[in-house]
Formats: sequence, C-alpha cells, structure tokens
Amino acid sequence: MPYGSKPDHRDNTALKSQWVIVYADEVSSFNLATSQNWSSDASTRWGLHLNPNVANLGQSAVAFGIPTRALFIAKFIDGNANDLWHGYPADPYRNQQDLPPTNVLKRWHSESHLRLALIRKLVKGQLCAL
Amino acid sequence: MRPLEIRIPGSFYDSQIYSGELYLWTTAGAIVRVDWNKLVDSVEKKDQYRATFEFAFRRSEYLYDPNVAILLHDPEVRSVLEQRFRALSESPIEVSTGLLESCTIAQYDNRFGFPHADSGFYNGTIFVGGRDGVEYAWPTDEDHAMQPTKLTDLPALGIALGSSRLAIAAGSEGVFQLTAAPHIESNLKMVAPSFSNWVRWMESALFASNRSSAGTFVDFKPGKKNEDHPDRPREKVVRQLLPVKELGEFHEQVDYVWGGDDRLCIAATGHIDVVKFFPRRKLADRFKFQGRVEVSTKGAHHFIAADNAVFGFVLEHATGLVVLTSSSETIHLEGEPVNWRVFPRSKYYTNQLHVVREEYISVLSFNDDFFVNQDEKLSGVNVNRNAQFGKRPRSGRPEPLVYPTPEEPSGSLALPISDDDIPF
Repeated sequence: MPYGSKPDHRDNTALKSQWVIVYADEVSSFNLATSQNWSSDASTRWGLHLNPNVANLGQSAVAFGIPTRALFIAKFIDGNANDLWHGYPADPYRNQQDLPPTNVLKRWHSESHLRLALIRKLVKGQLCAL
Repeated sequence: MRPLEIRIPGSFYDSQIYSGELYLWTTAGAIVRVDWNKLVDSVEKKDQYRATFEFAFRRSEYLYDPNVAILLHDPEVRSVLEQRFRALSESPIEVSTGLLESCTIAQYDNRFGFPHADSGFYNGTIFVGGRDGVEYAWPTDEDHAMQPTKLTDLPALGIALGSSRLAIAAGSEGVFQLTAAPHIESNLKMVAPSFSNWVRWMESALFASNRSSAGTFVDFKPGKKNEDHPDRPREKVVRQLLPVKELGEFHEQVDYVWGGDDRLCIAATGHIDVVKFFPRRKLADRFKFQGRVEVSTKGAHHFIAADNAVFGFVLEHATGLVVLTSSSETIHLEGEPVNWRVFPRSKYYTNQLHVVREEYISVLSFNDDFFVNQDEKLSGVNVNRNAQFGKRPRSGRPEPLVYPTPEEPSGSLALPISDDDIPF
C-alpha cells in the first residue's frame, strides 16, 4: 500500500499541524499502525512514534495559538479509498475528529503505550502531554 | 487540616458514589458495585472515632444540620471534633482485597463505551458519556446484568446531571440538554452553540466552559406545556446566553473559567475571582463579586481542569491536584491523577474527593468546611440542604446513626460527658 507525505504538513503552513520527525519515521509510524491494525475503519488508521517508547511526532498548527503544543498521535487516511495513504499529526485537543476510537485507545493503554491519565485527558478534550 | 483517606488498591479508571454504594470502573473491563456503608462500618477503628468516621465517609450532611450547629460551634466540642479528624487523617486507611470482596454487591461487565469521558448518577440511573455518545442503565442486584441503553450518538466530553436534566458538553457540536427525570426523554436540544468540554448545573441554570478563558452561562425559563403529557413538568427552554466576559470588565488576562452550583470562578495570574450566583434574584442582579482567592503561583495557572466542591475548589495542573479549601488552606495532592471527581450535589458525600491513581483509588474526606460560616465563605460552594434522592427504591441508603445509650456500659456516651464522650 503506497504511502506519501503531504507537503503542507512539512512546510510550516500555518493552518496545518507539522511533523517533527523525519519522513522515514513517518512511514514507520504508518507501517506500525497497519501491522497493529490500529484502525477505525477501512480508510482510517492511527499511529504512534515509538523510539522505543512513545515520543512526540508533531506540533500543532501555529495559526491556532502560540505557544504550539507537542502532538504524539498520527492520523492516516486513504481519502479516496484507492489505497493511497497520507497522514498528519493529529490534534484531538483542537479537533474531535482527530481523537482515535475507543478500541484503539484501549489497546494503547493495555499495550502500555499510553498511560490512563493521558487517555482520560484525551477523551475529555483536556490539555495533555506525554 | 489534611483530609482523611480510605485507599482501595486496584487498577481503576473512574468512580461514583450514590445512595450508600460505591461504583468502581476497573481497567480490566468491569464495574464493581460496593456496599460503601458496610465497607466503612467494617474498617477497624477505635470506638471513640466511630462517629467521626461516620461524618467523614457516610453522612457528611449531619454536621451541617442547623440543629447540630449550636453544639458544633461550642469551642470545646469543636476542639474535640477537630482533634479526632486530625488523628484519623494521620495515615491512609487501607482496604484489603478481602474486605473489598466481602463488601461487593455485584460485578458487572462494563458494556458502556470505555474509556469514557464522564459519568454521573441521577434518580437511580447511571449515565456514561464518551466519544461514541451517551448511554444509561439501572444497576441490578445480579452480576453481569447491567445493559446500557443508548441515549444519543452525540459525542460527550463532559456531562452533568441536575434540575431533572442531563447536560452534555459535546465539544464543537455545542451544549445540549434533555430531560432525565422523572422519566428519561428523547427531547435532546442544543442550548448553546459554542465549543464546550465541561458543563455544570447552577440551580436550574447551566454553565458551559470551553476549557480556557471563555465560558457561557445558560439561563432557562419554562417552555410550553407538553400536550401529550400534560401532567409532566414543562420543558425548560433557553431564556438567555450570557458569556462570562459580559459579567464584568476584566483588566487582566483570564486563564481559565469554570462554574457550578452557586459559584463562578475566573482565574488570572496569581488569583481566582469568585462570583456568587443568586438564582432567585432578577436577571440583572444574579451575579455578585464575592471576593478574590490569592493563589501562590507566580505565572499563569496552566489548568487541565477545575471543579467546585462544598469544601473548596479543586484545580488540576499537569503535575497534580491543588485543593483551595473553604478554610483558606492550600492542599497539594502531588502526582498526575488517572481521574478525579467531587460530589457537591449529593446528600451524603459533599466532603469527598475521589482520586484514581495508577494502583489505587483514594476516597478523601475534607472536613474543615463544617466549621466555616457558609454565608461568608469564598472557596467552595454552599452546601445544598435540599439534596434529595430520586424515587426509585434503593436498598443501600445509610441507616440513621444509632448511638449507644448510657445504659450500655461499653458505649462511648456514658455520662457524665468527658472529652472522649462527645459524639463526634
């Protein structure tokens, strides 16, 4: 399944969250999401950047407030259902559609990737950081 | 005064206490329903601490009883009572696994969405809200038999129950309400369009926070009579939306606002301004600046969340909780909590703060507020003396306290009264 990075999440576009990890790590995050089946449906997968523990992978869009926030969840989409994927650093504090589904959150906790306090803050729309 | 603490080991996510029962959401996918009265009764304690223990964990309302107040404010009685609260707060009371099991009424498979955002009890019904909507269920006495019913698919970041209604903070979808008592109805309506992740009832009005410097007060009035059910109370419809910024002229950068019951709190660097809400007054006179609580922080507050309790304000920061008590103490509860909640609208548990940690849950009991003048206090909401249970029959309500009579030689109330004999 081909994966391609979208340039506006790497070119400091003010309205877009930005990757802070290199492209190879972005692809690794997508491959991990695929192999672990961290998905909500056929066209949406959810990624983490393991280094070896969960590490930040992006920062929030500058247009929505300074200082920006560190982001640690990636959202991958096959927008046209043609198996051409792209992704971006998800910002669930800013956008509810960027919150992974409960089955993924539950697995991230049971597999010790995210602590429960962090998950509580995510589902309540509260500020949180790794 | 440090809070008293009952500590229950285990891996939990959330808790509720209602009508003599403690509900614990485990991370293993269960909801454990515990006979709280039995558990408190079963904890080993010296005879002279029995009544203090009751007030701390089972019957917070007793000490607010106006008939008791005259006795409570007697300096000697007060001194003895404070001494006993202090003695009990010296170390946490650990509940063994065996005791927890022996007090467990039922254990249900958690069929609500998990991890959820918020939960609440009202009129004998448990409500749980999260990313996939809001569900409700009635606990039964049989294991595994608590089947939730979906109320709405609307995402819930926070919920609040009060004034016979359920309020839902649905993030960017806005703020919604529906009738929750005496019958749960499907009359879901938006009451404010603004982003909200947190709601609280203020009598029959609502406060919705956007988790930062903006918040909206929603005032209601009775709507049209329900022609299909003329016997039912009239639905409440929005009379007015009042953004917090219109409450006054703020000369400083506001960090965070929250509200609930009879207090609105506006936090700026170094202090929290407290605005008291008078629901029975004319609209223009309903809010009155009550005073300023100084906070030791030099910089901005960096709130994760905050809530109003009877015993004070509870603030969550990245590194832990801070309780600004009504007796003007600042108590730090270090360490990031998994979850926490207070029960300002309950009848028996207004003094409790539940803090879920990674390996246990702490039921903390704050007892200074009994000695504070309710009309003059700044931190914390006034105790709700009208708190009532719903009409659904419940088995686990606390029994009235029975004190040993003077005829019982082993009792702690043998006359004449000495320091150890005062029933607190």
